[in-house]
Amino acid sequence: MESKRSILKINSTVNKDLKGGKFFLLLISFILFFGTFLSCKNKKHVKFTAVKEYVFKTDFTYNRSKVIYSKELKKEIIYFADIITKKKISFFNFNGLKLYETPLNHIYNCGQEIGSFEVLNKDSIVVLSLYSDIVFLLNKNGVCKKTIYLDSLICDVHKNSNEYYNINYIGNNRFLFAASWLGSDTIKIPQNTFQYYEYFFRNLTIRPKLVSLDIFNPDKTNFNWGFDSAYFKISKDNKLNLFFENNKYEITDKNIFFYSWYSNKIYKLNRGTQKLEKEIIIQQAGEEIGVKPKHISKENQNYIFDSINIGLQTEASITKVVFDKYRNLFYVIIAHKHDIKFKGKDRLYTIIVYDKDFEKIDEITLDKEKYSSSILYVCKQGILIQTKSKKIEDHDKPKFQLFKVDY
Amino acid sequence: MINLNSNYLKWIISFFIFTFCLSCQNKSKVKQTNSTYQNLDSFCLANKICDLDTINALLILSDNGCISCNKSFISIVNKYLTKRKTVTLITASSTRLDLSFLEDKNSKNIYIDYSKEFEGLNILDKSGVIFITNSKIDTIVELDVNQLEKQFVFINQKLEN
Repeated sequence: MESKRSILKINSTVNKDLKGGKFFLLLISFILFFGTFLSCKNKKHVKFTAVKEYVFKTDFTYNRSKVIYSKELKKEIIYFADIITKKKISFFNFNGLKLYETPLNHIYNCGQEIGSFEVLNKDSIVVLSLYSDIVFLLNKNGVCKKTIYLDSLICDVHKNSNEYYNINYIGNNRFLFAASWLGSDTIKIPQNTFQYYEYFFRNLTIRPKLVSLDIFNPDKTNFNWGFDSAYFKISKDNKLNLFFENNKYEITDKNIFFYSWYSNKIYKLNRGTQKLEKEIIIQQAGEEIGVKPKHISKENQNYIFDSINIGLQTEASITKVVFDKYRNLFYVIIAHKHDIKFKGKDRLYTIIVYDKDFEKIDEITLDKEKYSSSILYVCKQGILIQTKSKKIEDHDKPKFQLFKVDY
Repeated sequence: MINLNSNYLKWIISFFIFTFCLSCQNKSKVKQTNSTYQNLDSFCLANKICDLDTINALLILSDNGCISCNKSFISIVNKYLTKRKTVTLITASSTRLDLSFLEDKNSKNIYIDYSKEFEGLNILDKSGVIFITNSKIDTIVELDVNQLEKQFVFINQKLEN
Protein backbone atom coordinates (compact mmCIF):
# COMPACT_ATOMS: atom_id res chain seq x y z
CA MET A 1 0.00 0.00 0.00
CA GLU A 2 2.90 2.22 0.98
CA SER A 3 4.85 1.46 -2.18
CA LYS A 4 1.80 2.01 -4.38
CA ARG A 5 1.40 5.40 -2.82
CA SER A 6 5.02 6.29 -3.42
CA ILE A 7 4.76 5.20 -7.05
CA LEU A 8 1.74 7.41 -7.46
CA LYS A 9 3.66 10.21 -5.83
CA ILE A 10 6.57 9.79 -8.25
CA ASN A 11 4.22 9.62 -11.20
CA SER A 12 2.51 12.78 -10.15
CA THR A 13 5.87 14.55 -9.78
CA VAL A 14 7.01 13.35 -13.17
CA ASN A 15 3.75 14.42 -14.72
CA LYS A 16 4.16 17.84 -13.18
CA ASP A 17 7.71 18.16 -14.58
CA LEU A 18 6.62 16.87 -17.92
CA LYS A 19 4.03 19.58 -18.11
CA GLY A 20 6.68 22.22 -17.50
CA GLY A 21 9.06 20.52 -19.95
CA LYS A 22 11.87 20.74 -17.41
CA PHE A 23 12.48 17.04 -17.33
CA PHE A 24 12.83 16.87 -21.11
CA LEU A 25 15.15 19.82 -21.18
CA LEU A 26 17.28 18.25 -18.49
CA LEU A 27 17.37 14.92 -20.32
CA ILE A 28 18.25 16.48 -23.69
CA SER A 29 20.94 18.63 -22.09
CA PHE A 30 22.39 15.58 -20.41
CA ILE A 31 22.41 13.58 -23.69
CA LEU A 32 23.95 16.48 -25.60
CA PHE A 33 26.60 17.09 -22.97
CA PHE A 34 27.48 13.42 -22.69
CA GLY A 35 27.46 12.97 -26.49
CA THR A 36 29.72 15.96 -27.04
CA PHE A 37 32.03 14.76 -24.29
CA LEU A 38 32.21 11.30 -25.86
CA SER A 39 32.74 12.59 -29.42
CA CYS A 40 35.50 14.93 -28.24
CA LYS A 41 37.13 12.05 -26.46
CA ASN A 42 37.04 9.90 -29.63
CA LYS A 43 38.12 12.60 -32.10
CA LYS A 44 41.81 12.31 -32.82
CA HIS A 45 44.00 15.26 -33.54
CA VAL A 46 47.42 15.37 -35.07
CA LYS A 47 50.03 17.73 -33.75
CA PHE A 48 53.24 18.64 -35.58
CA THR A 49 55.87 19.94 -33.17
CA ALA A 50 58.98 21.57 -34.62
CA VAL A 51 61.92 19.78 -33.04
CA LYS A 52 65.11 20.43 -34.95
CA GLU A 53 66.42 22.02 -38.15
CA TYR A 54 68.84 20.26 -40.49
CA VAL A 55 71.05 22.00 -43.06
CA PHE A 56 72.62 20.11 -45.95
CA LYS A 57 75.39 21.90 -47.84
CA THR A 58 74.79 20.41 -51.26
CA ASP A 59 76.62 23.13 -53.25
CA PHE A 60 73.92 22.89 -55.91
CA THR A 61 70.20 23.40 -56.28
CA TYR A 62 68.65 19.97 -56.14
CA ASN A 63 65.73 18.62 -58.14
CA ARG A 64 65.50 15.14 -56.61
CA SER A 65 65.73 14.15 -52.97
CA LYS A 66 64.68 11.25 -50.75
CA VAL A 67 65.20 9.76 -47.30
CA ILE A 68 66.47 6.18 -47.66
CA TYR A 69 67.61 3.46 -45.28
CA SER A 70 71.30 2.62 -45.58
CA LYS A 71 71.90 -1.06 -44.93
CA GLU A 72 75.62 -0.35 -44.64
CA LEU A 73 75.23 2.35 -41.98
CA LYS A 74 72.10 0.76 -40.48
CA LYS A 75 70.37 4.13 -40.35
CA GLU A 76 68.47 6.59 -42.47
CA ILE A 77 70.33 8.95 -44.76
CA ILE A 78 69.13 11.57 -47.26
CA TYR A 79 70.25 12.20 -50.81
CA PHE A 80 70.03 15.27 -53.02
CA ALA A 81 70.52 15.15 -56.77
CA ASP A 82 70.62 17.53 -59.69
CA ILE A 83 69.93 15.40 -62.73
CA ILE A 84 69.88 18.32 -65.16
CA THR A 85 72.92 20.58 -64.69
CA LYS A 86 75.32 19.12 -62.07
CA LYS A 87 74.39 15.51 -62.92
CA LYS A 88 75.21 13.92 -59.59
CA ILE A 89 73.72 12.51 -56.39
CA SER A 90 75.08 13.60 -53.00
CA PHE A 91 74.37 11.45 -49.94
CA PHE A 92 74.23 12.99 -46.44
CA ASN A 93 73.73 11.76 -42.91
CA PHE A 94 71.44 13.68 -40.58
CA ASN A 95 74.33 15.53 -39.02
CA GLY A 96 74.61 17.35 -42.34
CA LEU A 97 77.81 15.49 -43.27
CA LYS A 98 78.25 14.59 -46.92
CA LEU A 99 78.98 10.84 -47.09
CA TYR A 100 79.76 10.35 -50.78
CA GLU A 101 78.76 11.46 -54.27
CA THR A 102 77.75 9.48 -57.34
CA PRO A 103 78.30 11.17 -60.72
CA LEU A 104 75.64 10.58 -63.36
CA ASN A 105 77.63 11.76 -66.39
CA HIS A 106 77.69 8.27 -67.91
CA ILE A 107 74.06 8.60 -68.99
CA TYR A 108 74.74 11.95 -70.73
CA ASN A 109 77.88 10.54 -72.32
CA CYS A 110 75.62 7.87 -73.84
CA GLY A 111 73.52 10.63 -75.40
CA GLN A 112 70.67 10.16 -72.94
CA GLU A 113 69.09 12.33 -70.25
CA ILE A 114 67.92 11.16 -66.85
CA GLY A 115 64.24 10.66 -66.17
CA SER A 116 64.27 8.93 -62.83
CA PHE A 117 66.45 6.78 -60.59
CA GLU A 118 66.21 4.47 -57.60
CA VAL A 119 68.98 3.86 -55.08
CA LEU A 120 68.99 0.14 -54.23
CA ASN A 121 72.09 0.25 -52.05
CA LYS A 122 75.40 2.11 -51.87
CA ASP A 123 76.80 0.34 -54.91
CA SER A 124 73.66 -0.10 -57.05
CA ILE A 125 71.72 2.76 -58.53
CA VAL A 126 69.26 2.06 -61.33
CA VAL A 127 68.74 5.00 -63.66
CA LEU A 128 65.95 5.28 -66.21
CA SER A 129 66.82 7.56 -69.11
CA LEU A 130 64.34 10.29 -69.95
CA TYR A 131 61.33 9.27 -72.06
CA SER A 132 62.95 6.11 -73.34
CA ASP A 133 63.20 2.41 -72.45
CA ILE A 134 66.87 2.33 -71.38
CA VAL A 135 67.82 1.43 -67.81
CA PHE A 136 71.40 1.76 -66.53
CA LEU A 137 72.76 0.05 -63.45
CA LEU A 138 75.49 2.23 -61.94
CA ASN A 139 77.89 1.57 -59.10
CA LYS A 140 78.67 4.22 -56.47
CA ASN A 141 81.33 5.79 -58.72
CA GLY A 142 78.82 6.20 -61.51
CA VAL A 143 80.36 3.43 -63.61
CA CYS A 144 77.79 1.53 -65.65
CA LYS A 145 77.58 -2.16 -64.73
CA LYS A 146 74.68 -3.08 -66.98
CA THR A 147 72.39 -1.56 -69.62
CA ILE A 148 68.89 -2.93 -70.07
CA TYR A 149 66.43 -2.16 -72.86
CA LEU A 150 62.92 -2.55 -71.46
CA ASP A 151 61.27 -3.11 -74.82
CA SER A 152 63.56 -6.09 -75.40
CA LEU A 153 61.97 -7.70 -72.32
CA ILE A 154 58.39 -7.02 -73.40
CA CYS A 155 56.78 -9.42 -75.82
CA ASP A 156 53.11 -8.48 -76.02
CA VAL A 157 51.04 -5.83 -77.83
CA HIS A 158 52.64 -3.09 -75.71
CA LYS A 159 56.12 -3.70 -77.10
CA ASN A 160 57.65 -0.53 -78.64
CA SER A 161 54.52 1.46 -77.78
CA ASN A 162 55.59 3.28 -74.65
CA GLU A 163 58.12 5.63 -73.19
CA TYR A 164 58.90 5.26 -69.49
CA TYR A 165 59.57 8.07 -67.06
CA ASN A 166 59.56 6.74 -63.53
CA ILE A 167 61.20 3.78 -61.85
CA ASN A 168 60.57 2.36 -58.37
CA TYR A 169 61.74 -0.82 -56.72
CA ILE A 170 58.72 -2.68 -55.33
CA GLY A 171 60.42 -5.76 -53.81
CA ASN A 172 60.90 -9.38 -54.94
CA ASN A 173 63.35 -8.17 -57.60
CA ARG A 174 60.55 -6.31 -59.34
CA PHE A 175 60.58 -2.73 -60.61
CA LEU A 176 57.58 -0.57 -61.31
CA PHE A 177 57.69 1.77 -64.30
CA ALA A 178 55.33 4.59 -65.22
CA ALA A 179 54.48 4.18 -68.88
CA SER A 180 53.22 6.72 -71.34
CA TRP A 181 51.80 5.53 -74.64
CA LEU A 182 53.66 6.86 -77.66
CA GLY A 183 51.98 5.24 -80.61
CA SER A 184 51.69 1.95 -82.33
CA ASP A 185 53.63 0.54 -85.27
CA THR A 186 50.47 -1.02 -86.64
CA ILE A 187 48.32 2.13 -86.76
CA LYS A 188 49.03 4.83 -89.33
CA ILE A 189 49.61 8.16 -87.59
CA PRO A 190 47.33 10.94 -88.92
CA GLN A 191 49.18 13.88 -90.49
CA ASN A 192 46.55 16.51 -89.70
CA THR A 193 47.28 18.14 -86.30
CA PHE A 194 43.77 17.83 -84.86
CA GLN A 195 43.33 14.27 -86.08
CA TYR A 196 46.71 13.43 -84.60
CA TYR A 197 45.69 14.92 -81.22
CA GLU A 198 42.47 12.93 -81.37
CA TYR A 199 44.35 9.72 -82.17
CA PHE A 200 47.05 10.35 -79.57
CA PHE A 201 45.12 11.70 -76.59
CA ARG A 202 42.17 9.32 -76.96
CA ASN A 203 44.63 6.41 -76.89
CA LEU A 204 46.59 7.92 -74.03
CA THR A 205 43.51 7.93 -71.80
CA ILE A 206 42.86 4.22 -72.16
CA ARG A 207 46.36 2.70 -72.30
CA PRO A 208 47.99 1.17 -69.18
CA LYS A 209 49.96 3.61 -67.07
CA LEU A 210 52.11 1.17 -65.11
CA VAL A 211 54.12 -1.95 -65.72
CA SER A 212 56.10 -4.08 -63.29
CA LEU A 213 58.78 -6.62 -64.12
CA ASP A 214 62.01 -8.18 -62.97
CA ILE A 215 64.61 -6.44 -65.10
CA PHE A 216 67.63 -8.42 -63.95
CA ASN A 217 66.13 -11.91 -64.30
CA PRO A 218 63.63 -11.33 -67.09
CA ASP A 219 60.96 -13.92 -67.40
CA LYS A 220 59.03 -12.90 -70.48
CA THR A 221 55.73 -14.13 -69.16
CA ASN A 222 56.11 -12.30 -65.90
CA PHE A 223 55.30 -8.66 -66.44
CA ASN A 224 52.13 -6.89 -65.34
CA TRP A 225 50.53 -4.01 -67.17
CA GLY A 226 48.28 -2.05 -64.84
CA PHE A 227 45.89 0.82 -64.35
CA ASP A 228 44.66 1.02 -67.90
CA SER A 229 42.05 3.67 -68.73
CA ALA A 230 43.40 5.81 -65.90
CA TYR A 231 42.44 9.11 -67.54
CA PHE A 232 39.15 7.68 -68.71
CA LYS A 233 38.37 7.27 -65.01
CA ILE A 234 39.77 10.69 -64.11
CA SER A 235 37.95 12.51 -66.91
CA LYS A 236 34.54 13.87 -65.98
CA ASP A 237 33.31 14.14 -69.59
CA ASN A 238 33.82 12.47 -72.93
CA LYS A 239 35.56 15.45 -74.55
CA LEU A 240 39.05 15.35 -75.98
CA ASN A 241 41.01 16.51 -72.95
CA LEU A 242 44.65 17.37 -72.51
CA PHE A 243 46.06 15.79 -69.35
CA PHE A 244 49.53 17.18 -69.06
CA GLU A 245 51.42 15.56 -66.22
CA ASN A 246 53.73 12.78 -65.23
CA ASN A 247 51.87 10.28 -63.11
CA LYS A 248 52.46 10.37 -59.43
CA TYR A 249 52.01 7.60 -56.92
CA GLU A 250 52.98 6.48 -53.43
CA ILE A 251 53.93 2.88 -52.83
CA THR A 252 53.18 1.03 -49.58
CA ASP A 253 53.70 -2.62 -48.59
CA LYS A 254 50.56 -3.83 -50.36
CA ASN A 255 49.34 -1.00 -52.53
CA ILE A 256 50.09 1.75 -54.97
CA PHE A 257 48.22 5.01 -54.39
CA PHE A 258 47.92 6.78 -57.74
CA TYR A 259 46.96 10.48 -57.81
CA SER A 260 46.67 13.24 -60.34
CA TRP A 261 46.44 17.03 -60.49
CA TYR A 262 43.25 16.54 -62.48
CA SER A 263 41.35 14.43 -59.96
CA ASN A 264 39.84 14.70 -56.49
CA LYS A 265 40.40 10.98 -56.01
CA ILE A 266 43.26 8.75 -54.97
CA TYR A 267 43.25 5.44 -56.82
CA LYS A 268 44.23 2.50 -54.63
CA LEU A 269 45.85 -0.22 -56.76
CA ASN A 270 47.08 -3.66 -55.85
CA ARG A 271 50.87 -3.57 -55.64
CA GLY A 272 51.27 -7.00 -57.22
CA THR A 273 48.81 -6.75 -60.08
CA GLN A 274 48.50 -2.94 -60.44
CA LYS A 275 44.73 -3.41 -60.73
CA LEU A 276 42.34 -0.83 -59.26
CA GLU A 277 40.91 -1.80 -55.85
CA LYS A 278 39.28 1.38 -54.61
CA GLU A 279 38.74 5.05 -55.37
CA ILE A 280 39.17 7.37 -52.39
CA ILE A 281 37.53 10.80 -52.59
CA ILE A 282 39.50 13.66 -51.08
CA GLN A 283 37.50 16.62 -49.86
CA GLN A 284 38.58 20.03 -48.75
CA ALA A 285 35.97 22.42 -47.34
CA GLY A 286 35.01 25.18 -49.73
CA GLU A 287 37.27 24.04 -52.56
CA GLU A 288 36.74 21.88 -55.59
CA ILE A 289 39.80 19.68 -55.88
CA GLY A 290 41.16 18.79 -59.31
CA VAL A 291 42.40 20.97 -62.14
CA LYS A 292 39.94 21.19 -65.03
CA PRO A 293 41.71 19.81 -68.10
CA LYS A 294 41.82 21.86 -71.31
CA HIS A 295 39.54 20.62 -74.06
CA ILE A 296 41.32 20.28 -77.38
CA SER A 297 39.35 21.68 -80.29
CA LYS A 298 40.04 22.58 -83.90
CA GLU A 299 40.05 26.23 -82.85
CA ASN A 300 42.59 25.99 -80.04
CA GLN A 301 44.75 23.12 -81.35
CA ASN A 302 47.71 25.36 -82.20
CA TYR A 303 47.97 27.15 -78.87
CA ILE A 304 46.50 24.61 -76.44
CA PHE A 305 49.90 24.11 -74.77
CA ASP A 306 50.40 27.86 -74.17
CA SER A 307 47.86 28.14 -71.37
CA ILE A 308 48.35 24.70 -69.87
CA ASN A 309 50.13 25.91 -66.73
CA ILE A 310 47.50 28.44 -65.69
CA GLY A 311 45.12 25.79 -64.30
CA LEU A 312 47.93 24.07 -62.46
CA GLN A 313 49.01 27.36 -60.91
CA THR A 314 45.56 28.52 -59.87
CA GLU A 315 43.19 25.59 -59.21
CA ALA A 316 43.14 23.42 -56.08
CA SER A 317 44.71 20.00 -56.52
CA ILE A 318 46.32 17.01 -54.82
CA THR A 319 50.03 17.65 -55.14
CA LYS A 320 51.46 14.83 -53.08
CA VAL A 321 50.50 11.71 -51.14
CA VAL A 322 53.00 10.43 -48.60
CA PHE A 323 52.69 7.29 -46.47
CA ASP A 324 54.24 7.39 -43.00
CA LYS A 325 55.21 3.77 -42.34
CA TYR A 326 56.35 4.55 -38.80
CA ARG A 327 53.01 5.97 -37.69
CA ASN A 328 50.66 4.34 -40.24
CA LEU A 329 49.42 7.69 -41.50
CA PHE A 330 48.85 9.20 -44.93
CA TYR A 331 49.65 12.86 -45.57
CA VAL A 332 47.70 14.21 -48.53
CA ILE A 333 48.99 17.62 -49.56
CA ILE A 334 46.47 19.95 -51.15
CA ALA A 335 47.49 23.08 -53.04
CA HIS A 336 44.74 25.63 -52.50
CA LYS A 337 43.23 27.86 -55.14
CA HIS A 338 45.66 30.63 -56.01
CA ASP A 339 44.87 33.95 -57.64
CA ILE A 340 46.85 34.40 -60.88
CA LYS A 341 47.58 37.96 -59.67
CA PHE A 342 49.83 36.39 -57.02
CA LYS A 343 51.72 34.24 -59.51
CA GLY A 344 55.14 33.46 -58.09
CA LYS A 345 54.05 34.33 -54.54
CA ASP A 346 53.77 31.75 -51.75
CA ARG A 347 50.86 29.41 -52.30
CA LEU A 348 48.79 28.00 -49.43
CA TYR A 349 48.99 24.24 -48.85
CA THR A 350 47.11 22.05 -46.40
CA ILE A 351 48.25 18.65 -45.20
CA ILE A 352 45.24 16.38 -44.66
CA VAL A 353 46.18 13.54 -42.33
CA TYR A 354 44.44 10.16 -42.78
CA ASP A 355 44.84 6.89 -40.95
CA LYS A 356 45.89 3.71 -42.80
CA ASP A 357 42.24 3.08 -43.86
CA PHE A 358 41.95 6.61 -45.23
CA GLU A 359 39.73 7.83 -42.39
CA LYS A 360 40.38 11.55 -42.08
CA ILE A 361 42.03 12.51 -38.79
CA ASP A 362 43.02 16.13 -39.09
CA GLU A 363 44.07 19.00 -41.35
CA ILE A 364 47.22 20.99 -40.80
CA THR A 365 48.11 24.22 -42.55
CA LEU A 366 51.66 25.39 -42.09
CA ASP A 367 53.02 28.90 -42.41
CA LYS A 368 53.17 29.32 -46.19
CA GLU A 369 55.98 31.85 -46.03
CA LYS A 370 58.15 29.64 -43.82
CA TYR A 371 57.62 26.10 -45.10
CA SER A 372 57.57 24.51 -48.51
CA SER A 373 54.73 22.13 -47.64
CA SER A 374 55.00 20.27 -50.92
CA ILE A 375 58.47 18.94 -50.01
CA LEU A 376 57.79 16.48 -47.22
CA TYR A 377 59.71 13.33 -46.27
CA VAL A 378 59.07 10.74 -43.61
CA CYS A 379 61.82 9.60 -41.26
CA LYS A 380 61.88 7.59 -38.06
CA GLN A 381 61.86 10.67 -35.82
CA GLY A 382 58.97 12.38 -37.60
CA ILE A 383 58.51 14.30 -40.82
CA LEU A 384 60.91 16.62 -42.59
CA ILE A 385 59.56 19.71 -44.32
CA GLN A 386 61.79 22.06 -46.29
CA THR A 387 62.19 25.54 -44.86
CA LYS A 388 61.95 28.37 -47.36
CA SER A 389 64.63 30.98 -47.68
CA LYS A 390 64.55 34.22 -49.61
CA LYS A 391 68.33 34.52 -49.50
CA ILE A 392 70.04 33.79 -52.82
CA GLU A 393 73.04 32.26 -51.09
CA ASP A 394 70.81 29.60 -49.46
CA HIS A 395 69.81 27.97 -52.77
CA ASP A 396 72.57 25.38 -52.40
CA LYS A 397 72.04 24.79 -48.67
CA PRO A 398 68.58 23.26 -48.27
CA LYS A 399 67.18 23.43 -44.75
CA PHE A 400 64.63 21.01 -43.35
CA GLN A 401 62.53 21.30 -40.22
CA LEU A 402 61.97 18.04 -38.35
CA PHE A 403 58.46 17.82 -36.91
CA LYS A 404 57.54 15.29 -34.25
CA VAL A 405 54.11 13.83 -35.07
CA ASP A 406 51.73 13.22 -32.16
CA TYR A 407 48.18 11.92 -32.50
CA MET B 1 15.44 77.24 -81.94
CA ILE B 2 15.58 75.45 -78.60
CA ASN B 3 15.49 72.08 -80.35
CA LEU B 4 18.30 73.06 -82.68
CA ASN B 5 20.45 74.16 -79.72
CA SER B 6 19.93 70.93 -77.85
CA ASN B 7 20.84 68.95 -80.99
CA TYR B 8 23.99 71.03 -81.36
CA LEU B 9 24.78 70.45 -77.73
CA LYS B 10 24.32 66.68 -78.15
CA TRP B 11 26.70 66.64 -81.11
CA ILE B 12 29.27 68.78 -79.36
CA ILE B 13 29.16 66.68 -76.18
CA SER B 14 29.37 63.43 -78.20
CA PHE B 15 32.30 64.82 -80.17
CA PHE B 16 34.13 65.79 -76.97
CA ILE B 17 33.52 62.38 -75.37
CA PHE B 18 34.73 60.63 -78.54
CA THR B 19 37.86 62.82 -78.76
CA PHE B 20 38.52 62.36 -75.05
CA CYS B 21 38.24 58.54 -75.37
CA LEU B 22 40.56 58.52 -78.35
CA SER B 23 43.12 60.67 -76.61
CA CYS B 24 42.98 58.42 -73.53
CA GLN B 25 43.48 55.35 -75.69
CA ASN B 26 46.49 56.79 -77.45
CA LYS B 27 48.01 58.04 -74.24
CA SER B 28 47.78 54.62 -72.60
CA LYS B 29 49.56 52.97 -75.56
CA VAL B 30 52.41 55.43 -75.47
CA LYS B 31 52.55 55.23 -71.72
CA GLN B 32 52.70 51.41 -71.84
CA THR B 33 55.61 51.33 -74.28
CA ASN B 34 57.48 53.93 -72.31
CA SER B 35 56.75 52.25 -69.04
CA THR B 36 57.90 48.85 -70.35
CA TYR B 37 61.26 50.35 -71.23
CA GLN B 38 61.41 52.31 -67.99
CA ASN B 39 60.47 49.27 -65.90
CA LEU B 40 63.10 47.19 -67.65
CA ASP B 41 65.67 49.94 -67.26
CA SER B 42 64.91 50.35 -63.55
CA PHE B 43 65.09 46.57 -63.07
CA CYS B 44 68.46 46.39 -64.86
CA LEU B 45 69.91 49.31 -62.91
CA ALA B 46 68.58 48.15 -59.54
CA ASN B 47 70.07 44.69 -60.05
CA LYS B 48 73.32 46.11 -61.49
CA ILE B 49 72.80 44.13 -64.71
CA CYS B 50 73.54 46.89 -67.20
CA ASP B 51 72.61 50.31 -68.43
CA LEU B 52 70.03 49.63 -71.15
CA ASP B 53 71.18 52.67 -73.16
CA THR B 54 74.54 50.99 -73.72
CA ILE B 55 73.29 47.69 -75.14
CA ASN B 56 71.54 46.48 -78.30
CA ALA B 57 69.96 43.32 -77.07
CA LEU B 58 68.91 41.54 -73.91
CA LEU B 59 68.74 37.76 -74.29
CA ILE B 60 66.39 36.03 -71.87
CA LEU B 61 66.87 32.33 -71.19
CA SER B 62 63.82 30.96 -69.39
CA ASP B 63 62.65 27.47 -68.49
CA ASN B 64 59.03 28.30 -69.27
CA GLY B 65 57.37 27.08 -72.45
CA CYS B 66 58.69 24.50 -74.89
CA ILE B 67 61.67 22.59 -73.45
CA SER B 68 63.31 21.81 -76.78
CA CYS B 69 62.98 25.49 -77.88
CA ASN B 70 64.83 26.56 -74.74
CA LYS B 71 67.50 23.92 -75.29
CA SER B 72 68.01 25.09 -78.88
CA PHE B 73 68.11 28.71 -77.76
CA ILE B 74 71.13 27.90 -75.57
CA SER B 75 73.27 27.68 -78.73
CA ILE B 76 72.39 31.31 -79.59
CA VAL B 77 72.92 32.42 -75.99
CA ASN B 78 76.28 30.66 -75.93
CA LYS B 79 77.32 32.33 -79.20
CA TYR B 80 76.61 35.87 -77.96
CA LEU B 81 77.49 35.33 -74.31
CA THR B 82 80.62 37.45 -74.36
CA LYS B 83 79.65 39.79 -77.17
CA ARG B 84 79.76 43.49 -76.41
CA LYS B 85 76.41 45.30 -76.33
CA THR B 86 74.60 42.04 -75.61
CA VAL B 87 73.52 40.98 -72.13
CA THR B 88 72.13 37.58 -71.16
CA LEU B 89 69.61 37.27 -68.38
CA ILE B 90 69.12 33.74 -67.07
CA THR B 91 65.74 33.29 -65.44
CA ALA B 92 65.79 29.50 -65.94
CA SER B 93 66.50 27.27 -63.00
CA SER B 94 69.49 24.92 -63.26
CA THR B 95 67.16 22.19 -62.00
CA ARG B 96 64.96 22.48 -65.10
CA LEU B 97 67.35 23.48 -67.87
CA ASP B 98 70.94 22.32 -68.32
CA LEU B 99 72.99 25.41 -67.50
CA SER B 100 76.32 23.59 -67.36
CA PHE B 101 77.47 25.68 -70.36
CA LEU B 102 77.82 28.60 -67.91
CA GLU B 103 80.28 26.78 -65.66
CA ASP B 104 83.47 27.85 -67.42
CA LYS B 105 82.13 31.25 -68.43
CA ASN B 106 83.01 34.28 -66.39
CA SER B 107 81.44 37.08 -68.38
CA LYS B 108 80.14 40.36 -67.03
CA ASN B 109 77.37 40.07 -69.61
CA ILE B 110 75.60 37.25 -67.77
CA TYR B 111 73.12 37.81 -64.96
CA ILE B 112 71.24 35.08 -63.11
CA ASP B 113 67.84 36.16 -61.82
CA TYR B 114 67.49 33.90 -58.77
CA SER B 115 64.66 35.97 -57.33
CA LYS B 116 62.55 35.65 -60.51
CA GLU B 117 61.98 39.41 -60.43
CA PHE B 118 62.11 39.67 -64.22
CA GLU B 119 58.96 37.52 -64.55
CA GLY B 120 57.12 40.13 -62.50
CA LEU B 121 57.75 42.75 -65.20
CA ASN B 122 55.46 40.78 -67.55
CA ILE B 123 57.52 41.55 -70.63
CA LEU B 124 58.40 38.00 -71.65
CA ASP B 125 56.94 34.78 -70.30
CA LYS B 126 59.28 32.50 -72.21
CA SER B 127 62.79 32.70 -73.64
CA GLY B 128 63.44 35.43 -76.17
CA VAL B 129 65.28 38.59 -77.10
CA ILE B 130 64.51 42.24 -76.38
CA PHE B 131 66.16 44.43 -79.01
CA ILE B 132 66.90 48.02 -78.00
CA THR B 133 67.52 50.98 -80.28
CA ASN B 134 67.96 54.61 -79.23
CA SER B 135 66.77 54.07 -75.68
CA LYS B 136 63.59 52.40 -76.85
CA ILE B 137 62.40 48.85 -77.17
CA ASP B 138 62.77 48.08 -80.86
CA THR B 139 61.51 44.50 -81.09
CA ILE B 140 60.58 41.76 -78.67
CA VAL B 141 60.92 38.18 -79.92
CA GLU B 142 59.34 35.52 -77.73
CA LEU B 143 60.15 31.96 -78.77
CA ASP B 144 57.22 30.20 -80.38
CA VAL B 145 57.44 26.51 -81.22
CA ASN B 146 55.55 27.06 -84.49
CA GLN B 147 57.93 29.73 -85.80
CA LEU B 148 61.17 28.72 -84.19
CA GLU B 149 63.27 28.36 -87.33
CA LYS B 150 62.23 31.78 -88.69
CA GLN B 151 62.75 33.38 -85.30
CA PHE B 152 66.27 31.97 -84.95
CA VAL B 153 67.22 33.31 -88.41
CA PHE B 154 65.78 36.73 -87.49
CA ILE B 155 67.54 36.83 -84.10
CA ASN B 156 70.88 35.77 -85.56
CA GLN B 157 70.67 38.34 -88.35
CA LYS B 158 69.68 41.16 -86.02
CA LEU B 159 72.36 40.27 -83.47
CA GLU B 160 75.04 40.13 -86.20
CA ASN B 161 74.08 43.63 -87.32
